[in-house]
This record gives sequence, C-alpha cells and structure tokens, in this order.
Amino acid sequence: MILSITATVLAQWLHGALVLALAPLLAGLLAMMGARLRGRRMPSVLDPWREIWRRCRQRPVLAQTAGPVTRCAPYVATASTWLALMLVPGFALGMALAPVGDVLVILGLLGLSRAAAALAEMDAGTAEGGLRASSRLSVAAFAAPVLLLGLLVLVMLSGSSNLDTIAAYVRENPPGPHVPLALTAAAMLAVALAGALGVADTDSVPAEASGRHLALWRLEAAMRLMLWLCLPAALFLPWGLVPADEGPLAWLLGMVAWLAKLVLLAGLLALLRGRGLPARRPQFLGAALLLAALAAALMFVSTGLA
Amino acid sequence: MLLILALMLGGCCLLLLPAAFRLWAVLRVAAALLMGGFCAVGVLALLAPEPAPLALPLGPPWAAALVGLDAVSAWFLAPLGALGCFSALLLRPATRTELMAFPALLLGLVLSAVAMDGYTLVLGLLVAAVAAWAALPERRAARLMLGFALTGGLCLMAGFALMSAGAGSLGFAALRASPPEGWVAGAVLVLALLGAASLGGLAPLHGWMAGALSAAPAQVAPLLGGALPALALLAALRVVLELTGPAQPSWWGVAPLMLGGFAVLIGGFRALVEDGLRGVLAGAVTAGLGLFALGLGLALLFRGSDMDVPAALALSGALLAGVHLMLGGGLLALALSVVQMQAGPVAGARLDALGGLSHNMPLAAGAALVAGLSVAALPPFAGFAALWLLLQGLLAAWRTQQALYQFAALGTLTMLGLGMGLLAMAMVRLWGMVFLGRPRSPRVAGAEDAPGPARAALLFPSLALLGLGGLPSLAMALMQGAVEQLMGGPAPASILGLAAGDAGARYLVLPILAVMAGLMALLWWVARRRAARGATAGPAEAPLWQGGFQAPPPHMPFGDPQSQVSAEGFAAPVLAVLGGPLGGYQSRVVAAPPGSLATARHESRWRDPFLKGLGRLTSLRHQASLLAERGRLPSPRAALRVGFAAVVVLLVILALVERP
Repeated sequence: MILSITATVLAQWLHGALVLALAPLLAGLLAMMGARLRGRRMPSVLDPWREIWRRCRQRPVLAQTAGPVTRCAPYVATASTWLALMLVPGFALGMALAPVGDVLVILGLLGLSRAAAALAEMDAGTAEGGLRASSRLSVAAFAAPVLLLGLLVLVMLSGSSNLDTIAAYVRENPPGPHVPLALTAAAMLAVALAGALGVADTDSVPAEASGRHLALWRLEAAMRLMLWLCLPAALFLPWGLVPADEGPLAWLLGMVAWLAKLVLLAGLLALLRGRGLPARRPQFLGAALLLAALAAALMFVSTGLA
Repeated sequence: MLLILALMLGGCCLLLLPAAFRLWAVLRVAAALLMGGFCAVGVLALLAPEPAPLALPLGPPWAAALVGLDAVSAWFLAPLGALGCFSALLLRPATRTELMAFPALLLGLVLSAVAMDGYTLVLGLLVAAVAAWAALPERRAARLMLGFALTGGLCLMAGFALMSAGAGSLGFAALRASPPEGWVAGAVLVLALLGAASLGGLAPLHGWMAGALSAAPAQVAPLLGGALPALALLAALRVVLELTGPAQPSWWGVAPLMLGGFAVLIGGFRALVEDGLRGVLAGAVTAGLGLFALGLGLALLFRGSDMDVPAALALSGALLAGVHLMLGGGLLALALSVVQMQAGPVAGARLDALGGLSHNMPLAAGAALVAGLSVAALPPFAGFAALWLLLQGLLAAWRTQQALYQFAALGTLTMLGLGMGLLAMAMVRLWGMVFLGRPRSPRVAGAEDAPGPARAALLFPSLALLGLGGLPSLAMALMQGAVEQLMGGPAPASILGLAAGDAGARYLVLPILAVMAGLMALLWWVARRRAARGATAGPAEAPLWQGGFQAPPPHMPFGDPQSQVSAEGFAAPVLAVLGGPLGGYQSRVVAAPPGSLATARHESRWRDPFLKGLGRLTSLRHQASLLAERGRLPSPRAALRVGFAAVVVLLVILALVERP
C-alpha cells in the first residue's frame, strides 16, 4: 500500500521533471523539422534550452510604464501551464495527481495562464501588445465550445471528465471503427493544432518581456506546445501507458511509447505548419465545432438506440 | 431571530429619517451597520434555519406579510447583507431623492429575500425597483428600467394569483400544500420565468440594464447589478422548484436551460462590445444571471427525470452561481464605482478614457482583478467552482435519454463555451484597459486610491470572494440545507474541493492551489539563484518603446492615447465574426474627400437588436410609463406615489384573489 503510494508520487515527480526537461527539446525538435522541410540548415535541438538558460541569468529591463503585473505574470503563467501539463498522463496512468486531473480544470488552468500572458502584454501600454492580447484571447474563445463538445463525447463514452479515466477507457476499449470518436479526435486535433500552431509562432511570448522573464515565457510557450501534443496523445493514442505503481521498468517502457507518440505528433505538426493550414483560425475552428457537434449528435442517436 | 429580523426591517424604514434630513454620514454608518446585521442574521440562519414564518403588521388582516428565514432565504440573505453593507460605505453627499432611495432599495431587497408569501416577495422586488428608478438621474434609462420591472412584477404577481386560486392563500406553506396542475402549472412556469427575466435582466429582456447601470450612482450600482437580478431569479426558482411541488414534468427545464445559455452568450458578447465601464458590468451581470438560470433549468430537467444526484449537483451549481453573481458581480461593481468616483465621470466613464490606474489605485486594481478573474470563471476563483458544477451537470444531461433534452444540452453547452470565452476576453480587456498601460486622459493620471471607508468596501468582499474560491466545499456544506429544502437530497462534496457523480470527476481546489504555489516558488527560486551568479539586481527600467509612433506632443506626458489599443480595437477579432449576427454591428472606413488633408475615419455602430424588437412590441406599455412619468420631477413624493400606487394595485389583486 505504502509502496504503491510512494510509487505514484515518485511517478508524478518524475513526470513533472520530464515535461519540464522535454518541453524545450520538443520546441527545438519542431524547429529542426521545420527547417528540414523547408530545406534550410537545421538548428540544434538544444537551442531553446540554451536560450532559456542564458536568458535566465540576464537582468530584465522593464518599460517605465510597466508595473507589478509584468513581474508576477511570468511566474503565474508558467506555474499554471506546468501544473496543467503535470495533470496530463504522459508515460503512466494513476499518478499521484490523477484525481485532480479533470479536463475542465486543465482547460481552466490554461485559461489562467492565457489571461496572465494577455495582461502582461497589455501592461506597458503599447499598441502591439494590446492587439496581440486580443488575438490570443479571441482564438481561445472560439476554441472553447469545440473543446466542450469534444469533452461531451468523451464523457458519454467513459462516464467521467477525469483525464485518467478517459484515457484508461479508450485504452481498454479499443475503438475500432468508432465514428463519433474519430470525429471528436479530428475536432480536438484541429483545436490542438490551432493552439499549437499559435504557440509555435515566434511571437508567442509577450513582446516587452526580457531577461529571466523572457526565459520563463519561452519555457511557458514550450510547455503549452507540449500540452497540445500530450493531450491528444493521452486521449486518442493511450497505448503504452503503464500503471504508475508498477515500478521503474514499466515506466521506462511507457516513456519510450510516450516519446514515440510525441515525435510522431510533432512531425505531423511540422508538416502542417509547412503547409500553412489553418490560416483563418475562426473559420477553421468553426469547422471543428461542426465536427464535434456531429460527433455528439451521433452519440445521442447511438445511446438512444442502445 | 425572526423578531430581530422584523425589528431590523423596521430599522431599515427608520433609515429614511436621516436620509430625509440629508444626514448622509449618519445614513452611511447606520445603513452599513444594519446591513452587516442582516449578513450576521443570514449566517446564523444558515446554521440554524427558522422556516416557521412570522407575520408582520403589514398588509390586510387576512393576509399579513410573512417573513421567515428558511435555508434558501438565509443562503441569499447573508451575501445580500454583506453587499448592502459595502455599498453603503460608498455613500456620498447627494440629493435627498438619491439618499432616500437608498434605504428603500435595501429594504426592498431584504424583504424579497426573506419573504414567505408571494405578495411580500413581489412587493419587495417592486419596492427595490422603484427605489432604483428614483435614484437614477438619467430619466430615460430609469423609465425603461421601471417599465421592465413593472412588467416583471405583474407577471410574477399573476403567477402567484393563479397558484393561490387553488391554494386559497399566498403563503408559501399553503402554496406548497396544493401545487397547480394542468394548464395552470404551465402558465405559472411561463409567468414566473417571464417575470424574473424582465425584473432581473435575463437575455433577451436585458435591454434596460446597460443604460440603468451606466446612470446609477456609485452606491446603487452594486445592488442594482448584483443583488436585484439574483433575487429576481430567486423568486422564479422558488416558484418553479419549490412552490409548484416536486411532481412537475422535466420539460419545464428546457426553457430556463436554453435561456440561460443564451444569456451567457449574449452577456459575454455584450461585455466585450460595450465601451463604458458599467456597460461591461451589465454584460457580466447578464452572463452571471444566465449561469444561475441554466442551473435552475438543469435541476428541473434532472428532477423531472428522477435523477436526484445530478439534480442536486445542478441545483448547488445554480445556488453557487447566484451567490457568486451577488458577491463577484457586486465586487466588480464596487471596484468600478470607486474607479469612477476617483478617476472619471461617475456616469458613463469609458474604457477609452482610462488607463494605467494600477499604479495609483492598487487596492481598487486588486479588488477588480479578483472580481474580474472570478467572473471570467478562471481557477482557483469562486466563479470557476460554480461553472464547474454547472458544466458537470450539462455533461450528464445526455443520461436523460430524451433527444429533446440532449440537443438542448448540446446547444446550451455550445453557447455556454463561447459565451464564457467571450466573457473572459471581456474581463481581461476591462482590467487591462482600465488598470494597465498608460493613462489616456490627464484626470486619470492624477487619480488617487479609494478613500477611507471605501477601502473596507473593496478589501473585505475581495477576501470573501477569495475564500469562497478556495473553500467551495465549505460553501457546499452551508448550502446543504437549501438544497435539501428545494430538492430533498444532499449535494456531494469533499473537504478538498467538489465532486460530481460516482465516476470520479473532481475539482480539488486545495491540492491545485498547493501544487501551484509550490511550482511558483520553485520557479522563483531557480530564477533567483541563477540570477545571483550573474547580474544580481532586480529589473532595470527603461523608457517605453512606442512601437514606431511619433513622439507625443509635450502636453501629453503619457503619450498619445491613440497609440494604445482601443476598446473597439480589442474586440475587433470577435466583432468581425460575431458582431453582425449577435449585435447588429456595422463598421466602415470613411475616406476624406479628394483634396482634403483630413485623415480617414473608422466609423462603427451597433444597436441592441433585442431592445429594438421589444421597442416595437411594447410601445403600449411605454406609453403608459410615459403617462405615469409626465410632468413629474423625481422627488421622494413621486417615488412614494408610484410605490404606493403599485401597492394599491397589488392589494386589489390580492383582495380579488382572496375573496372567499
């Protein structure tokens, strides 16, 4: 009993440390693949980490009109994205924080981090900052109904909005040719891609940030990118997840599967970025909303017949 | 305790005396103390409810006004008392009408919260509405509000009259004992919803709210925006959930459910396109009221389908949303009132004239941030707890196995998601434009933080809201009695947070807070340690790079306001997609004529399509309202006359109904 609790706590800490370490690497990998696809010279995978580490030592320079929001927001935003990422199962199911890992809570934490970033953009009082805050938030507003409808389908399947429960359900009931789930997956993948593509832009950190604040914002952006890749990986490709109390050897297996999934999704993302797919995001998200609504309607019909 | 309550209601009437002699400082202290007392009574009654009503020496002898403190009343009386107390602290020297209207407003609100018969309930709401009408200096907005309020009051009264025809009395106990059936029940549902929507400003009957709130004096706005809508919907909740008995069909829930989702969408959109502070507040209130109505609809739907656990869950979400509307919406209104008192015209302060206030007004900024994030339903604030419960209910609505309800829930979920996204954007825009950036006008640059008593009015409700967000399980424990009274089953909760159903969906706020605090401390520590090896000092300061705009003229020490984002510019990405369908928004660029040196101008306009449609529908009522208004200044006598006439009309209805 005590052993298994220790194991779940250890797995949780390991997961938290791993996502912290892997997020900038994943951003580096994406940049590398993007350069390869465009036929440019590839940057090193370690570049984002190097930059974050270097910036960490630099003293931030604040605009005279900036206030405490600029100083506090990077910590709030990074911590809440990190926490959201810790709640998404990576290599193991049933980690210590699994009961906390409600999809709505994860979406809420992302919203908190987004609000902090938008306020940091607006703090100094530049025109550009305000407009960037606005576009950041409007994309999120259009994405929210898609995510909720997708969640509805998953809740109808698994009976809970807890991420662990959903992942365990999908893993144990291999979904074969399941139309609603496929539609939901397409819709949520579209949202994830829209979100991740927004993150992968070079200007996804507040324009005024500098020094260690900039390092934190870069870390936050990398983590958000990773979250948008981890979430579909956990929801729709939950294979290779191991129970958290099975010990280090099983974990290692889970990690290999997790890394493979992440690299696969990152490759897909790099391909889509090269094609410049969702240029008009509201329309793109509107189409995703239709898919999700169709999936939910199909679920209603099938549960009604059952 | 009921005797104390009755005495305090009498004390509320006595408050008219200092108001009549314009002793505003006495009124401020006395009203704050009295409302604090109501809050204390509410909390005590939450712990030990006293449902047996007490007859007040008011009204005809065969149907005296009844007041009582059952669990539902207590759940709403406690935040109402607190909000009234803090609003009173914002009182300033004013005209006699405005001062006299304030105690009347408080009296009406409290009366409607503790009423134990239909007549007293409607009387309280109408007294509050008439008092608010008298306090509004802008007559057009006041007239519109009064029209909506009287319509709502009449609808509610008609609903009670229909019910009492079978019960023989307007007392809640008698009404409960003989629930209506058949078409009467359907008519009661429609009348109650219509009445509450009109009185409280639920979309699509929200047209009066932006105007009325924009015109309201500082101390009236929190009550008009936070308390009156919540209490109006509480009246509908009592009617459709409690007084008409538990045997009503589940399709009753569809209308409030869809209306609620629609109100959240419209409220979020409205909050985003309005450019006045109070207009944004009105949008947020409409959205908050929508959440409350949505929970009511869900509870009805589940109860009719014999699903007790989700019904209790949805009901507790609704009750939490109602109290959050009072506390969160009220705190937002308080903070914006303070901003308007200190930095702008009290009526009609615009986002495009403010900016940078977090430097001068840290307390108001903090309070507005807490309220804004809570209204935007972000964790770990109180609004998220309410939204989480309601979403869990919506996500379970498919279990009713009826296509109508499933698709209603699907539509509501879509509207709710979009509306809450827009509301979050609106709250960030509000706070960012008012408190961040550079001042957009000289007066704003010289503003000072809240004076003496107003500080308390910002600090304590902020702490209360933070506490409610951190301990939603405590709130659930306190509302247990109310849920049991209305639904008959307890709502599930755990000490660490909220839980829904048996499948393990949980919102565990305390672990979330703890882990997040730990992560923040870790990040801070690492950044500091790393910095300690290099440049050690804190952040350096440098002049702002204005993004390439030319240097501002010397009379603009904070730069050209045109070089910051504008209220409309912030909303542009949403307006481009939703502006036309939801708000009749039109914009165009007007180029200067050839040869002119003027710049091109961007012109835009939008008009509330619902108000426009209603204007045509209700021209008759408008005429009547005009007639009542003609040739009359807003004096206390005028206010009393309208109130008295309303009482007489209601008494006549009552006498007709009660005739043996």
